[in-house]
Amino acid sequence: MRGLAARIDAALTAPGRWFRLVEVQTLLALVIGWRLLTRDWTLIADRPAALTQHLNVMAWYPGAPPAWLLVALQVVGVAAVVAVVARRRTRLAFLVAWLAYVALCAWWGASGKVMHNDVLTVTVTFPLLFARPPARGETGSSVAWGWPPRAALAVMATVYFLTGFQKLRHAGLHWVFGDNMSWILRQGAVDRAAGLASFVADHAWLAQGMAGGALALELTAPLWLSIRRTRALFAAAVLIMHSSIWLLLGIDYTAWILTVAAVAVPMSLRVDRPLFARPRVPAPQPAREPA
Amino acid sequence: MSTTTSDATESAQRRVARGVTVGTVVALLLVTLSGLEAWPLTSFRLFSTVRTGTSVGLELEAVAADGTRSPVRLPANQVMSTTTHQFAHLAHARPEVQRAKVRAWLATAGIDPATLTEVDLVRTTRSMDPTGTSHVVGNEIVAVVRP
Repeated sequence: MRGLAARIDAALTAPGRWFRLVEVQTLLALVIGWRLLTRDWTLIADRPAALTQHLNVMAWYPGAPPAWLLVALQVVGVAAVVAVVARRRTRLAFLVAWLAYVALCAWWGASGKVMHNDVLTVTVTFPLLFARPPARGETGSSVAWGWPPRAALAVMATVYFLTGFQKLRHAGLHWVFGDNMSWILRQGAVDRAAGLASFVADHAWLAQGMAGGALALELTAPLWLSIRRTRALFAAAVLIMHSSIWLLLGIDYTAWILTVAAVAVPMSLRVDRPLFARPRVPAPQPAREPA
Repeated sequence: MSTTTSDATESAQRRVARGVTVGTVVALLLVTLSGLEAWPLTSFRLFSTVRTGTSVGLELEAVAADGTRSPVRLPANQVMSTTTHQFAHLAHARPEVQRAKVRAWLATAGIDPATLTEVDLVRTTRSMDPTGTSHVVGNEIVAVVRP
């Protein structure tokens, strides 16, 4: 057990190349920017104060936030994402983008229902707030650049494992082997996929296969994500799982798909291979002498 | 000298790495086991309950002076539509809280409270057969609020 802990520690704290942290941080910032841009956050201001629930990180703020504050946070958050992408005051900019995103999402979800749409992005980006990204022109390897993407992987693996663990804890294997998935599909199917949902629900082996596949993927996430070569496969499997949920039930987990891709795909490459490799310029050939 | 400084920096970064990673993972585990829901801290209960053919839902019904009953329909956007999850706690809320919330829902639905005698919180039990056909098998008024 001690040996395993030592190996995990060594893997976490090994030096890492400068470009990997830049890639993961930039891609995660772009996910945050995309979420900030694609919602009408002013809807929060339309929710009456009496219907605003305060059991979240923004509980300290009294009442409902005004529309101007929501738009200001959105603008500041997007500007901070641009700064991260441009690598200008990256550490501060990433923190500002994260804080704006967390504040807006907390208010968005303060209606009484626990919303998980953005929680993976918020959680996985958290370790990167403590990262010291390379300055422009700084290259090489360092412990400071190695651990943040690995910490993001560890947090991501934990989140997926816990979603599976909670299914087992509260429903047991009946979640897979009972008719649970069939009823989820019958009761929650969106109109566009009613026929497909009904087909799956009516074939127990198919519904149980879907449930078993989803649960297995969640519970084995730490394994997939601990091995470099299977990280990209995990991203592909997550894409299939969340896309099928969106198609059949209309629940949007796009932020989960993009967050997994932002971390798992760069981390699936060889340590010396950048995600966006510059095209190699062929060496100039010596001019041939005429015969 | 510079090597010593570099070693010290690397050691400090290793401590940060362990602290942040282990701290975050342990916090996620503890929050999950405790069942706490204080966004973004969550216990990750995504589809973790077993569904059956029977489902129970709560809805508000506005009762006009002439006895006409009509459902209180909220905007479809996610911010407002999910406030219906507060129905589950409405019956046990203090009367002034019940009234404030109900008046807020009526305002959002564009219903004038002055035209109503009461608003009922109705629990409806539905049974669905394997063909996907749903039947109401029970209706119960669990709270009456005078707006």
